[in-house]
Amino acid sequence: MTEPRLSTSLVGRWVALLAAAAACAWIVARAPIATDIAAFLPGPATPEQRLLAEQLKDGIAARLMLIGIAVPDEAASNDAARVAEALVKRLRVDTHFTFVANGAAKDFERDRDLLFAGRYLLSPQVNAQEFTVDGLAAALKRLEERLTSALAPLVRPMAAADPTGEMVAIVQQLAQRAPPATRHGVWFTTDGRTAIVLAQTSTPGFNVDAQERAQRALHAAFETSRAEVAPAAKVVLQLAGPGVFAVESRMRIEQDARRLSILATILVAGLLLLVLRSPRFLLLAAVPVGMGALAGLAVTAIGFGEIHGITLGFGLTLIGEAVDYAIYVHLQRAAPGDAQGNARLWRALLLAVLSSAAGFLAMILSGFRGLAQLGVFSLVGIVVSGAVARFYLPALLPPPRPRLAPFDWPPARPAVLRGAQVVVAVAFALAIAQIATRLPGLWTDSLSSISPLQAGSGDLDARLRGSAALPEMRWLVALERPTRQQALEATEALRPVLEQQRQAGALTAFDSPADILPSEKVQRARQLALPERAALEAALAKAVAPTNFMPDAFAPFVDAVAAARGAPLLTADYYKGSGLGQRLNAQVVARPGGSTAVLITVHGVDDTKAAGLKAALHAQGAAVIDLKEDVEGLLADYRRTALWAALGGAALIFALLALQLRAMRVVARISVALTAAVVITAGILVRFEGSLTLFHLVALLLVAGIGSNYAIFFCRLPTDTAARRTTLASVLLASATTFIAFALLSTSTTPVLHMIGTTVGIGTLAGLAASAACAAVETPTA
Amino acid sequence: MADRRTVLQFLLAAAGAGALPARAQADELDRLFALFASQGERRKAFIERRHSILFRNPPEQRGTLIFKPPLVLERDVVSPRRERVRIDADSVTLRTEGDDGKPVERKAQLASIPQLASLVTTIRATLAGDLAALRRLYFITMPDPLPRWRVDMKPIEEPQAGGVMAITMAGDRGDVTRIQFTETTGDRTELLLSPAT
Repeated sequence: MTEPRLSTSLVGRWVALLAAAAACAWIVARAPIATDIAAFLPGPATPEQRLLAEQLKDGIAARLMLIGIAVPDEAASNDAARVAEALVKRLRVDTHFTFVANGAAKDFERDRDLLFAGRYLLSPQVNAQEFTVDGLAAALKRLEERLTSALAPLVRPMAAADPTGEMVAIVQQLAQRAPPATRHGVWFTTDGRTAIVLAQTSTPGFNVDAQERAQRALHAAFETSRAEVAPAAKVVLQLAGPGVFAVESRMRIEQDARRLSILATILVAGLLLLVLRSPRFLLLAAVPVGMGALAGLAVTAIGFGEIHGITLGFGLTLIGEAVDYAIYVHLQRAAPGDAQGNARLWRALLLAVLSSAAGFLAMILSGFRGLAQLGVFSLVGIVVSGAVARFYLPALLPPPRPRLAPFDWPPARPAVLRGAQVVVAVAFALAIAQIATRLPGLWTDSLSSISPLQAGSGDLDARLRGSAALPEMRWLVALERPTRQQALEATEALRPVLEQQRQAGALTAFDSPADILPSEKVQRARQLALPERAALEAALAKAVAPTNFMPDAFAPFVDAVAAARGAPLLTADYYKGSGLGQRLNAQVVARPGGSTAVLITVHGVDDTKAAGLKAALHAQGAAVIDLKEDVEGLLADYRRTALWAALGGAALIFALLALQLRAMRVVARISVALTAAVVITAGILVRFEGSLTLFHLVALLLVAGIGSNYAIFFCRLPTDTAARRTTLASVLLASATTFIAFALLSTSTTPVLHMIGTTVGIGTLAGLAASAACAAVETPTA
Repeated sequence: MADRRTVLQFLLAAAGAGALPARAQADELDRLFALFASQGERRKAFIERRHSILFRNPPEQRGTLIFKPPLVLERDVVSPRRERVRIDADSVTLRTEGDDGKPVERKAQLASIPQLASLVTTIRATLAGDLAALRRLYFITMPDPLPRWRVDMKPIEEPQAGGVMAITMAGDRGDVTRIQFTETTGDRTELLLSPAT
């Protein structure tokens, strides 16, 4: 091999690397950044859950913004009401919002008008018998009673056009629940301190940029309203809802990612510069790290079509991991000509890369799209960093200045090693005891424990939602049919079952969309039940004669029935732009496949009778979704899957070690060190966090992957003292950089990142300690 | 010059003359409402008649009206059917006899029944002597002064369909003896009050 040829091939390799880097950068720059929460929630397992997931992501409910206008005490509630009113007026003409309501009586006028105009197609009591002489006589008797009661002011305006009381029947069917609390004529929380406004954005809840614009517009409208109506009052704007949380969590993730990656870079670079005193090394070390990150992001972008904000945040941990390989190459490189020494290093490096990769493989298999992304990103990043460090750095690195660890290990006095082993063994035993005492409640599977939102974000939502008597979104009855009409018919068939369950106390109320949009079949049947004008007039005359009503009192009724006979059937368009139209859009949903899904919100489900409810509805071809329990059940399933994946990952790591090292004693040592590291970490986590989540579990596998790197070096220390102390120095330095990166990650306010950071941060130290306790000098046999 | 001043004085005097009765009316209203305010709990027998184009003869309801200042209003009907409405602040309790003769009780929020809310607010404010509250809702005139007085009220805001478009009250000193609501439907509801027996 002559000098010029080497140089040519070197240049060629660097050109290839730069080209690859440029290609990756191009892909990454074009990839959309996603921040939706759903990626870190379990994926849907059943068709109903898929429907639910779709709705949570893109449904009408996901566009809902709950706005609270709060004053410090009840006495100032009028200020809140006035600001709310001014705000509603502004938002109604703002194109960011398609629907705004605050419970003012005027809001419901249009809904009432629509229901009244469509009463003969909507009322459940319309049938042929109703319009006979007997039927009308009974209706008139009821009407007279209503007109001579306290409710007369309500009934009187409709009496002439609706003597049979269709409107009352329609409203009774719809109003199963108590209306929301009001004050000053608008929605208020029951404590009287917060006026509530509901707004629906014109853009989907997952479009975070659009949501952010809508929120800015909302803030501006609020400020102007406040300045105009109550400039002196202390009025505060509170926002909740899926879109609001999406914007909030993206902001938090972005802030965390920026802050933590800058900090990690500074700290790691500072440490390396301090220890190695080589700016040139620092620059070169950035090459594998940068290339690994770019390649990881590019593969993620290609594989997932987007890069999640949390992946970016997690990316900084790669700084701590990938820089290790540069450190190993730099410090442990053999003197020129010592081919055997280098071969030994390359094998160790390959093993370290592979065992870390095995850890990330478990993340890919966890079943969470978000975690899978982190896994793919990290796996690709680690492999590429390792490869670049192996193939590019040696030729360019400055000659290594011997960096020896300030001490030798295993220590000269065996008693010290013994002592270390005892300490690790005691820690191991304590950890086992700790885990055993918490065993029944070791795992938390609640949604809030893994939600990317900060704890407490949901409280405001729940408070406003409860006060506005909005569906609590815990229980849903869902059904899906090939056509819209079939879906509506199935919904109608469900009504008696739901009503029966309501009577039995299994639930307190349900909102069925078929009550406002009956199927064509039912509408047509009602239309056919309406008599011809002449027949109705004759029957009415006979029915009115013996009463106190004037003979011509009900002319508007005769006209209305005649008109309804020839009226077109009601469609969803009939309600366009009204409050009922909003409800219909949320409840009758066109599915991607062309079928129609109906969602019936159910309230006040009695947990003890839920099983009966589920069975009764299931028999009708509908599913009951319990968001809380279903999600928790799913999470537990995923955790079990992840546990198997983790065990598989661990087995893979051991298999790799056994295959590569082919020395059972060494493999046994490494295995003991890894097991101790993972168990001690888990014990510490349980002690301080109370219980573990799925994310802790996955992170523990990461601990095994990273810990294996230390164990590989510690359990096969070179016999030569100088080489040994160099190895020790490189492992200490590498673990320090890893620790820095993950410790910083643990300060993140995003729960997922915090959990991974805490686990791996502790795990790095535990892995180092356990590896040190298992340290052995390689015996040059075989 | 002198002529002009005379004309001006005349005009001013004329304008003042026109305003005088209004001022006097305002004083008279204040006195009337002070009389209302000075009374405590009241219990009146009532007859309510609805004059409507729907009916040949105006149907009648009889019973007792009870007012406990400032927020409790009870309407206890004995004929033609037993019915009791109790309104306390914003909560409405309606008690009727079901088809089986057993009492049925329903609860609602006053604000959710705007048609009822405006009537209740008006009656409560009148009986409590809260003239300021009424002035926020109505233009108020007093064609007949005390002691046998009459007060007319017209809503400031356009009433909704079926709402009240005029109210006339009459009475003797501190007693309200008759209230008439005229609705946009053309119906008139007449409430006659007399000391409870």
